[in-house]
Amino acid sequence: MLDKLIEEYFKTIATVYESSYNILRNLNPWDKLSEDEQEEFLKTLAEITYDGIEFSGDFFKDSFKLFYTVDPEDWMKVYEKWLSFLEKEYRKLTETTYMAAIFNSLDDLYLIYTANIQRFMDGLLHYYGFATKFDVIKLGKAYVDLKQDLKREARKMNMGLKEVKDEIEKLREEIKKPKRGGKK
Amino acid sequence: MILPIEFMRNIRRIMKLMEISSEFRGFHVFDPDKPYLIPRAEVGVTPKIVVYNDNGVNLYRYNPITEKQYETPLVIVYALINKPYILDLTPERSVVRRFLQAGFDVYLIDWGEADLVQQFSLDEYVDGFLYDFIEEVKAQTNSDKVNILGYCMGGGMAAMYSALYPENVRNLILLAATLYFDKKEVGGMVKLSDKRFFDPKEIIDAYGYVPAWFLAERFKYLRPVENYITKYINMFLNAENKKLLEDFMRMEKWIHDGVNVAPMAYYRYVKEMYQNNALANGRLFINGRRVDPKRITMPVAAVVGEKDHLAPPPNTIRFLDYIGSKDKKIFRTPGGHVGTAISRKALAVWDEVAKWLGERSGKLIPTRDWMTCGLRYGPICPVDF
Repeated sequence: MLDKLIEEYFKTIATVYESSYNILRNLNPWDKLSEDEQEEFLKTLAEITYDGIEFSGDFFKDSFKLFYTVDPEDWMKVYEKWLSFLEKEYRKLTETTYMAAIFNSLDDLYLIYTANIQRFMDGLLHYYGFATKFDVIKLGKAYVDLKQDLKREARKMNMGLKEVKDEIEKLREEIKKPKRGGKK
Repeated sequence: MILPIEFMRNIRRIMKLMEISSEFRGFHVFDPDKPYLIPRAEVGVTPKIVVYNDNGVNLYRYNPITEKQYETPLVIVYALINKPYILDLTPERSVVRRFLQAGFDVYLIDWGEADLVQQFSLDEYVDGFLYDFIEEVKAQTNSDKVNILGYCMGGGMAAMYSALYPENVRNLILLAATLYFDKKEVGGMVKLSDKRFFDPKEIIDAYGYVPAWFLAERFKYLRPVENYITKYINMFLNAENKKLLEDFMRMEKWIHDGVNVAPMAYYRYVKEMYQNNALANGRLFINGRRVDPKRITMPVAAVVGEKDHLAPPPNTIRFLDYIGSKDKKIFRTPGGHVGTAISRKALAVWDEVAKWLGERSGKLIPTRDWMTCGLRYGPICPVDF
C-alpha cells in the first residue's frame, strides 16, 4: 500500500513539474524567435548588465558626495541622472523582438479571455432571442456595403453627367462656329 | 537640512498642481473607451469651420489670416488614431498656423470616432471619404489639384491616394508617415506588430472596433519607463513652472483623448502595411485597384523626427526610394513623433517646409472668403475640438 502511494506521489510530482515546464514554454515566445533575435536579446541583456555595473560605480560616487552637500539641486541632479539611465536601459530592452513578443503574449491572453466571455454572453443572449453586439456589427457591415455601392453609382452618374456636359459644350462651340459658305 | 527643504518644495509643488487642476476644472473621464483622467485643457484654438461632412468625418477649413494665398490649397490628412488638434495645440505650437501665416488655404480632415456600426475599411477611407473630400476642396477652391500633408497613418493614406489619383495632387508632404516597414531597419511599432506574435483580428474579435485605450497603451509599451513613471516624476519636480505644466497637461490630454478606430481599416493597415510592407512593394489593392508607388510622381517632402520611435525616420524616408517622383526633399527635426509637430525647434523647420511648398504651389491670389469661395451649402458650424 505504502509503495503504491509513494509511486503515485512521485508520478504526480513528475507530471506537475513536466506540465508546468511545458505550459511556461508554450506561453513563452522564446522558441518562436530566430537565432538572431535570441542573440539580440542576450546581447542587449549583457549590455544592460555591463552598463548597470558601470553606472552603479558612478552612482555610488555621486551619492557619497551628496552627504557633504546641503543643496537639494545636487540631489535632484543625481536623481535625474538615475532616471535617465533607467529610461535608456529599458528602451534598449523594449526594442528587442523578445520583449515585443512578451507584450503581445500578454495582450493575447487578455484579448482571448475577453472575446471568450463576450461570445459566451452573446450566445446566452441569442439563446433568449436578444440582439447582441455581433448583430450590430453585421448591420454595420451591410450599411458600409450599401454606402459604398451608392457612392460608386453616384460617381458613375457624375462621370456620365460630366461627359454629357462636355458634349453639350462641344456642340455649342460647333454651333457658334461660322458655317462654310455662310453669310458674307 | 535637505529633508525640510525638499518637504517645503513638495508642498509648493502640490499647491501648484492643485492650482492648475482647478484652472482646468479638474480631470474628467470623458468616454468609456478612454478610461483616463483627462484635463480640460484648451487646445486647437485657431478658428475654423466645418465645410463638409459625411458619416462623422469632418472637413475643416481654417480661417485665413493673410490677404493673399497660394492658388493650390493644402489638405491635411490626419491619422485615424488620436485627434488632429496636435497640429494646432496652442497658437505658438501650431503647424496649421505656420501654413496659414505662409499664405496657404488650409483644410483638415478629421476622421472622427468609429463605432460598432462604422465597419469601414481602407477602401472606404481612401477611395471613399478622402476622394470625396478632396473633390470637395477642389470644387470649393476652383483648383484642379491640391497639396496634401499626411501625418503618421494619414501619411500612409495620403500616399495611397496620391498613387491612385496623381492627377489631383500637386505636392505631397509626408510627416512622420508610416510607409515602409522592415523590422530590421525600422524597429519600434513594426517589431511590436510582428506577424508571428500579433494578430490584429484578436482585438476586433473582442471589441468589434479598436478602442482608443488599447492603441494608447500599445504606444506606451515602447517606452514604458518614460510613459508610466518618469514623465510624471519630472512633471512633479517641475510643477512650479506654470508654462511647462500647462503644456504637459495639453499633451496628457492629447495622448489619452484618442479615438476608436474602424476595425477593418486597422486590420488592413497592420496586416498589409506593418506585416507585409504592401505599399512599398506595390502589393496593396484599394477597391480592387493596385496602388503603385511609382505613380507618385509629384514633388514629395518627408518631414521626420530624429528621435521618433513610433515612426522612426526610415519608416518614411526609405519609402522615397520606391516612388516615381524626381523632386524629393527630406526635412529632419530634432524631435520625436509628436515633437516634430509641436516642439519649438521643429517649428523652425516647418517654416522651411512651408517655403518649399510655397515654391511649388503656383501664384498668390487674393484670399478666398468662405462667402465667395465655392462653398455650396455655407459653413456647417464653427468648431471646437
